[in-house]
Amino acid sequence: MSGQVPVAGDLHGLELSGGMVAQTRPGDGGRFLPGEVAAARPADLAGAPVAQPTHRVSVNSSKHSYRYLRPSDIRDGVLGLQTSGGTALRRPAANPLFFTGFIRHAGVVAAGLCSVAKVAATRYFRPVPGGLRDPVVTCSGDRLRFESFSGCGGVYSRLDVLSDALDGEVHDLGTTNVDVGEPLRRMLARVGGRDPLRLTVGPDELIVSTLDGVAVETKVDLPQRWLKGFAEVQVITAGFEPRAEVPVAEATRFLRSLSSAQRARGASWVVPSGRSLRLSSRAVPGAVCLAGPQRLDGLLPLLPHAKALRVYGPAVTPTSMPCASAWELQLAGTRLVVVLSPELNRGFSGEGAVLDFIAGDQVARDAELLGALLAFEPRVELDLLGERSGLSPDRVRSAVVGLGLSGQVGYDLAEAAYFHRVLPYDGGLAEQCNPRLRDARALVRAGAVTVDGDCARVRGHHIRFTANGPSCSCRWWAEYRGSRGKCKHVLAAELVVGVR
Amino acid sequence: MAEWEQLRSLLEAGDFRGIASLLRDLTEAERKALAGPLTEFARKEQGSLPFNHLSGLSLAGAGVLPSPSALARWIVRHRLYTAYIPGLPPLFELTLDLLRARGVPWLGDLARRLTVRLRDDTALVQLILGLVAISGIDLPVTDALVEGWAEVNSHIAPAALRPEWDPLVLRTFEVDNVGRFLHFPNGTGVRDGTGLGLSIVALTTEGRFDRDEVIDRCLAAMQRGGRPSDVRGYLNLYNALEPQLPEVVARLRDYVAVLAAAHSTVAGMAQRELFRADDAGQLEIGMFLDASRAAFLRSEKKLVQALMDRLRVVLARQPGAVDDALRTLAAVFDHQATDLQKRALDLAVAHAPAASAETRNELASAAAGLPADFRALAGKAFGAAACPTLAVAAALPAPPTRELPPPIASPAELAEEIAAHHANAAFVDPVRFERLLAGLVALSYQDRLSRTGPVVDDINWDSWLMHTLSEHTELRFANFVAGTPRRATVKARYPDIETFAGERGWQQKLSQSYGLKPYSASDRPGILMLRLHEISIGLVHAPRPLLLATPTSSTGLLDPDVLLDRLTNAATEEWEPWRHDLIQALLRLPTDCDPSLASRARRLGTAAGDRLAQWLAEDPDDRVTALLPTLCRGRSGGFGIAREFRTCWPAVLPAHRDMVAKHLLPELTYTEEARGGGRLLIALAEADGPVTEEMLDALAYGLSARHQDERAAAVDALLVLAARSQLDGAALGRRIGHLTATSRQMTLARVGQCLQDLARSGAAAQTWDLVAAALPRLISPSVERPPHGLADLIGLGVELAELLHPTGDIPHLADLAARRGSSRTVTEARRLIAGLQGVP
Repeated sequence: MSGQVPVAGDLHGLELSGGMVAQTRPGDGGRFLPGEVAAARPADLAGAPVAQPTHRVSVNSSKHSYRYLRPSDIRDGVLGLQTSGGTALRRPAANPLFFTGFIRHAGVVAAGLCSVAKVAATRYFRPVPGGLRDPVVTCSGDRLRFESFSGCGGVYSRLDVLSDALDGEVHDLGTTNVDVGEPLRRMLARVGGRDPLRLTVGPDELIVSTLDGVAVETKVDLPQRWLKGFAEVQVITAGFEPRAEVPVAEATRFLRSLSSAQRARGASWVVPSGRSLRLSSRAVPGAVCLAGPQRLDGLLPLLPHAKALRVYGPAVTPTSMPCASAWELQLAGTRLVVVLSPELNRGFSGEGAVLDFIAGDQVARDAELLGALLAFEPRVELDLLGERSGLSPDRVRSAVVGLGLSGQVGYDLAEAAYFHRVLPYDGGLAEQCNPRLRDARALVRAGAVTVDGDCARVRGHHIRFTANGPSCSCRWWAEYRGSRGKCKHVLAAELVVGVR
Repeated sequence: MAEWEQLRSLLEAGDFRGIASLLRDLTEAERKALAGPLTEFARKEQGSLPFNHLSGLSLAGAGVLPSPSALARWIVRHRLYTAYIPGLPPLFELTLDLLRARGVPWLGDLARRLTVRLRDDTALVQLILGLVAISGIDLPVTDALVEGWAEVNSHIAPAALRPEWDPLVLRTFEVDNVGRFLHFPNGTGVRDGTGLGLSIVALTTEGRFDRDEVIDRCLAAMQRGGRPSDVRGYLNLYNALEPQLPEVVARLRDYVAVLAAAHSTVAGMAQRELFRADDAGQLEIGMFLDASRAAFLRSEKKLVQALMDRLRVVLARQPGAVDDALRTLAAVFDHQATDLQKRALDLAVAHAPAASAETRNELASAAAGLPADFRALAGKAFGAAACPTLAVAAALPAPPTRELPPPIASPAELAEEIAAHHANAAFVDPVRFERLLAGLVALSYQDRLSRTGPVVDDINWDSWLMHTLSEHTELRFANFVAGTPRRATVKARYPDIETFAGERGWQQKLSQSYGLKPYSASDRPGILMLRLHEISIGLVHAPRPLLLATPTSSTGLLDPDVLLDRLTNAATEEWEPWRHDLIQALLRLPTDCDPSLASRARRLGTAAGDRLAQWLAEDPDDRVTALLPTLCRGRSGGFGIAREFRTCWPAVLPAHRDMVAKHLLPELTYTEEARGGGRLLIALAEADGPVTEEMLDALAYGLSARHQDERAAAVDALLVLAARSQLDGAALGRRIGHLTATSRQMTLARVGQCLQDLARSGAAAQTWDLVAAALPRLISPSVERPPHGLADLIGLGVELAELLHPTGDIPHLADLAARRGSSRTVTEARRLIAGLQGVP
C-alpha cells in the first residue's frame, strides 16, 4: 500500500468537492451518462449508415460512441490511457481523469493490459470482422480494475491492479471506457519488467489544455445480448467456489498440453490431480468445466510472472451439464481473471441467470435504492448496505444481484465480494428486455397457461413443479435441463401461479 | 412489356451476356419500367430458376434498379455466382461494365454500401474494388474487405499491386485470418517474385512501403498470434525481408514478447534474432533474462536447451550477473522434462559458489520439487532444502456413484424424458433410457386402463414410441404399429408378429443393415433391438403393467429378489411377460444369486418362473454363452449398429463385462475413429465380471486413443477399476508392452501422458506395477528401435520408484543402462536402476 493512494476506508475522505456525490447521481437508479454522449445519441442514429449488415442482427442493438482526446500511448515513460464517457464522482467528465502516478511491476501490468485488450478485440466463436468494444476501467480508490468482454459474448476478462502496484494520486472515482487499440498493444508489448513506468488514467492537464476537440472517435454497435452478457457474468460468478490451485509450471504444462483438436471440441472437465490438473471425461465433484481452451490463451504470456493459477467453478455432480468457469492468475501486485462461458458457442447473455431474480418488482426497487448508496467501493459490504438501507439481508442479497444485472456491480472471486462500478453504456442494460420473459408474458396474456396442482400446461408443453425446482417438456429444457435458465413456458407458469 | 418478356426469357435461360447487352443502352425511364417486374419475378418465381442462373438477377438488377441502397441489398442477396462457360467473363465484370455504361452518379455510394454488407465473398470484393476504381472514392478499409482483397490477390505480382491499395496492404497485418494469404505460392524456398507476401517485400525494398513500419507490423502480427497458418505467413514475410542487425537491435523487446506466447516456429525465430543481437554484443543481460523467463516453461525442449547453453556463455562473459541468472534459471527445475531439469541443475551447481547466500537459498527451495537423485545433488550445492511437497494424490478418488432416479411418475414427466432423449441424441445414457422405457410401458398401461384419471389426451403413445425408437436409427422401427391400436388387455397373448403386414419387410431391412443377405428366419438382431421392437408391438397388442428387465442399479444389474417380485406380480395378475424382456432380465442378474431363489421361482408355477429357475441352475458363463449366438451376429459384435446405443451395451450384460469387451473390442480398437469409446470403458469399469485380456486390450487402446478426451475417459475408467481394487497393473502393463511392440495402433507417447495422470491421481502403486511390467517387452534386445516415448515411460518409473521404493528387478534394464552413450533412454534407465537400489 503506497502512501498516497487512499485505502478503501479512506474512500470518502477523498477530496471531492462538497455534495458532489449526491449531485452527480441522477435519480434513475444511479445509472448515469455524461451529457455529451447522451446528447450526441439522436445525431448518431441519424447519421448511422442506412444499410444494415446482411447477417441477422438483433434489432436490440444500439450505437455507442467512443470519443478520446487522443489515442492511448506510451510517451516519455508515461503510459497514458485515454478515457471516454462513463461515470465519475467528482465531475461529469466526458473524459474523466482517475489516476496519475507510478506503477510497480510495469512489465506485468503491461502484459495484463495486453491480455485484457486481446479479449475485448476477439470473437472466439465464428469470427466476423467488425467493430469491437473497448475495455472498461473502474477506479475504486485503492485499485484500478480493467474489464473487457469478448465480441462473441463468451469470455470476460479483468485485470485488477492493486494498491501494491500503484503509487500515485487518485483524482476521481468512477468507471469509464479506456482506449486500448493495436498501436498501444504494440507499445505495451515492449514494456520490460524493470522499466520504470508512470501511468495516467485519463487525459492529463497538458492534453486538456493543448488539444481542443476529440481526436479519436469510433462508433460501435452495442448489441443487447452483449450488454446483457457483460452484466450477467457477475451474477454467474458469484456462485463459484475455488476448486483448484496449481503452481505455474504445472499450469503451463496443462494449458499447453491441450491439443488443437481438443480446442475445437465441446466442453470437457478439469479435475485436480496431485499438484496438477488433468482432463476428465465427466463431472466428478470438484471438477471444473473447460470449453474452448484457446479462450485461455491470453493467460499464457503472463504465466512466467505468476505465482499460481487458481480455478473457480460452481458445484457439480456427475450428471451436470457444461457450466461456466473462472481462471485466475496471482501476479505481483495484480490479478488477472478470465471467465469462460459453458460452451464455445454460448455467450453469457443466454445463460438466463437473470431469470431467477426478476420475479418481483421489489428487486428492481431495492436495487435502485442500494445503487444510490454506493460510491465505487472496492468491496461492497452487504451488512453495511443492509444497515444503511434498512433492508433485510435476504433482500439486500437479491438486490445486489439485481444491481449486477444492470451492470452496477462486479464480482471479485479472489475476495469473494462484490465491487461497485457502473458500466458506461446507455440504457441497454435494462434487465426487463429479456426475450424469454417477454414471450412468457405474452403467453400469460394469451391465456395459454392452465394450472393443475403441481402441473401446468402451456401450449402443449407440460410443466412440473417439484422439490428440485420446475421442469418442462420443451426442447430447450430437454437440451439444457435448466442449466441455461428457465424456458418461457416455465416462466409463464410461474407468472400465473407465483414463484414457489 | 416486350422488353420484360425478353429479359425474363434471358434470365430463365441464364444468358448473362444477353442480359448485359439488352440492358446496356436503355433510357432511365425504360429501366424504371423494368424494375417492378424484376422484383416481382424475383419474389415469386425465383425458385424456378436453376441454381447457376440465379445470379443473373444480380446482373439484371444492376441494369434496372433505381437506387444504390436497393441495389446493394439486391446484389448481396443474389450473389455473383458464375457457372463456368468458356469465354464468358466473370459476372462481376459484366456487372461492372453495365453499371459503368449506365453512368449513374452513385457508384461510390454503392461501393460503400456493399462493403458494409460484405461477408466472405470474393466476387463481391472484385466488384467493390472495381466500383472504387471507377468512382474514385477512398477505399472503405474494413476487415472483411481486407480479408477478401488478400484472398483475391494472394498470387499477385508486385507490378499489379496498385498504389491506391496501400491502406489495405498495411491492414493485412492487423486483421485475423489474413496471414495465410501472404504465403509464398511455391513455398518459402522458391521465389518467383509473385504472391502477395513477396510483392509486399519487393515493394518494401523499392521503398514504396516504409521498411521499419512493415517489420514492426510483422512482429506485432506474430505477437498477436492466431492460427498457425496465418502466423507462418507473417513469419515468411519477415524472413524474406532479411532484417539487418541494427533493425533487430532496435526491436529486442518485441522478440521477447514473441518468445513468450507465439507458436514454436515463430518463437524459434525470435530466439534466433535475440542470439544474433547477443553475438554482436548488443543484448543486455537484463533483456536476455527476460527472454529466458518468458521461454523457460515452454514445452519445446530445443528452445529451452539453447537458451540454457546461451546462458552459460553469457555467465562466462558477465560473472557479475550470476544471481539474477540463477534465479531465472530455477524456473527450469519445474520443467516437465527431466533431462532439462538436470542440465539446469548442473549449470546452477557449477555457478552456485559465486552466487549470494540468498540466491542459493532460493535455488534450494526451487529444487525441492526435483526428483530425489537430483535433489541430493542440489542439497550438496545449495544447502538443505525443505521436504518436497507430494506431487501425487495420496488416495484414489472414490468413483462417482450414481443414484438411480425414482421411476417416472406422471405423463408430464414422461414427456420431459422423451424430449430429453431426443435432444441428447449423440449417446444414449442407459440409466435414463431404461427409466424412459419403464415409464413408457407402465404409464401407457395405466393410461389405457383408466380413461378417468389425469389423462393427457394429446399424448399419442404409439407415435411417441415410434419416434423415440426410430429417430435414432434408419431402421424405421415398427412403422406399422401405429395403424390400428386395439383395446387389448393385460391377458392378451403376444401376437405372432411374423404374420404382421410389414414385419417381414422390416426384418429384412434390419438384417440387410447388419450386412446379412439374404434374410433368413434364423437371423436375429441383437437383444437390445429385439426388445425395443417387442415393446413397440406389445404396447398396442399385448400391454403389460411393467417391464421385468428394468435395472435396479446404475450399472444395469437387476436384483434377483426384485425380479422374483415382478414375476410374482405377473403370476398373480395372470399375464405372461414378453419374451425378450424376460431374456434381458435374466441377462441382468448377478452371477451369484441366493440358491433359494430357484425354488421360490419354481413355486410360482408359471413358464417365466420355470425359466428363471432353469437359468439359475445353469453355469453363469455357459448360460450367457448359450444365448450369445443370437447376440453376436453382425458387424458390431452383434450389438447392433445404432452407434448412439453403444453406450447401453455394458448394461445389457452388466455382470459379464468380459463378454461385452470381447464383442466390442473391434470397435474400440479403431482408435482413430472410435469416438465415444471412452464412455464405454468407464461403463465397463463400473460393471461386474472378470477383467479379461480383451478388456485390458480395450483399456490399452483407450489410453492410446487419438482424441485427448477419449484418453481422459480411459484414465477415468482405470481409476474406477483401481478404486474397486480390480486393476491388475502388471497384467495391463504386459498387454501394453505387447501391443506397443506388435500393433501399429498403439502410440506409447500418448499412453505415457495418461499414466502420469493416473499415477498422480492416487493410483501410483498400480501405475508402478504397470510400468515395471510393460518395460521388459519394450527394452528387450529383440526390439530394434525403441518406441517413441520410452524414455518418458522410464522417467515415470523413476518418479514412482522414488515414491514407492519398490523392490525387484526389471529384466533387460541393466543391459539397457549398460549401453554406451548418453541418450535419454539410457540415462533414465541408469536413474531407474539407481532408484531401485535405493541410491538417491
